[in-house]
Amino acid sequence: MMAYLLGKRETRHFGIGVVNASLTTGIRPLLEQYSSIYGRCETQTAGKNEIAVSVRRRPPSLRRRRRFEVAVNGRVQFEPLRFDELLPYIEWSLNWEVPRVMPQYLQLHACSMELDGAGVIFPGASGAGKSTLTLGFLTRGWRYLCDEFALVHADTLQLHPYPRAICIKRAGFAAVEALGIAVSKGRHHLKGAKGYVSFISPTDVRADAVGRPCPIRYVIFPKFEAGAAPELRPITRSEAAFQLHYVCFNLLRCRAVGLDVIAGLIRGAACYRLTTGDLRATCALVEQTIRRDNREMAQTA
Amino acid sequence: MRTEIAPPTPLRRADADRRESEEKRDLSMPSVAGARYVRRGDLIEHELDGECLIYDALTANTHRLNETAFSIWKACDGAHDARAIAEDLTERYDVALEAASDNVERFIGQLVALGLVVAAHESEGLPA
Repeated sequence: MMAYLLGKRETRHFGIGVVNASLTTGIRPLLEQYSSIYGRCETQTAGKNEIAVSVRRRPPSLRRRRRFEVAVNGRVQFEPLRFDELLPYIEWSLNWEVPRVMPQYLQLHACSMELDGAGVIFPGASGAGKSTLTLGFLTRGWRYLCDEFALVHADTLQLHPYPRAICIKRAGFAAVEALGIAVSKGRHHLKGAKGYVSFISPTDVRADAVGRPCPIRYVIFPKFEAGAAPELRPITRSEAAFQLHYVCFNLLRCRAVGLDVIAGLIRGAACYRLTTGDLRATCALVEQTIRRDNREMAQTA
Repeated sequence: MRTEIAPPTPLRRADADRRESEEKRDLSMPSVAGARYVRRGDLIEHELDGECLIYDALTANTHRLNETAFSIWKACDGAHDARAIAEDLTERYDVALEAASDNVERFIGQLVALGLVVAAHESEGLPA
């Protein structure tokens, strides 16, 4: 039986981009795991609108492997959990709380990156290849904002960083390792129906990986098709806006009218559909297109 | 350049799960010939490159109109009936008046069924 090395409960604070969170637990291996991927974000004091996550061991029961629970701001959200499920559920807890505690941001289900000061978002459902694309672009020098969300400030329409650890599903391990990024063995976590995943800190890929707030200049909807040649097809802004509102988590709960924010951001963006197959070729195609567009815009200006 | 008029674009409901049942549902389109309709004033509209997104806060639904549908939508101002709107379309698109009228009436019928427009004589007292 695995010993979980319970100790005195300890609280650590983290500023993950614009999202402030704390983790309180007495489970030492969990604290060590969390700090190993978020140590770069650790702060000494609580941040504004901090989301307080706590993990504790439940009273003994017959379900001996499922002995943990995750609570957010004092309310139990997930139970009973195995140890190797804790990290994904801590992440989920934070994601679910972000729209509630930060209504100034529109939260889109999209990977968000920055290239030469331009924000690029890749909206898509789970399995569209967002996280794998993220790592592909990171290795090409792009800056990372988030692999799962685009946080758009409702007033400024700027894209803000929420540089979570990048979550790679088992099916993507080979593609990531082909990029020369180690998917650490023995650090795999069970994430519900998605199966086993691995978390990769963006700064483990590149020390200067994390980007800054920036305007959204490109909205690209990826669709993964194994073996397909990469293709970028322009789409109209209204089609893109309509698709974006499907992947918005807080369209009705955002401080502003969600559709106003979407329309506002889309007016300043070029919109495409992307078929992704080979990761390197896809990243190269997107980067060439953006750089070409930027050159043309600069010449026009 | 004159182009073929697009078939009437059905309004697309925001909720994907309900889209299929929406298609199956009889929208019981009212006869709109001869009547004049006006857009509800409380809708949020965004024009994007000649097309339009409409958000209806009462139903929390979002709709997307293509260019042709948007031009019909803009003509629902209480001053034009379906026939007048169709005549205007025949001047801008390569389409016969009869076909344009059918399309316009069907499209306005959908707008009425979705509650996005109301008969001009009923529009007084609605939220602006």
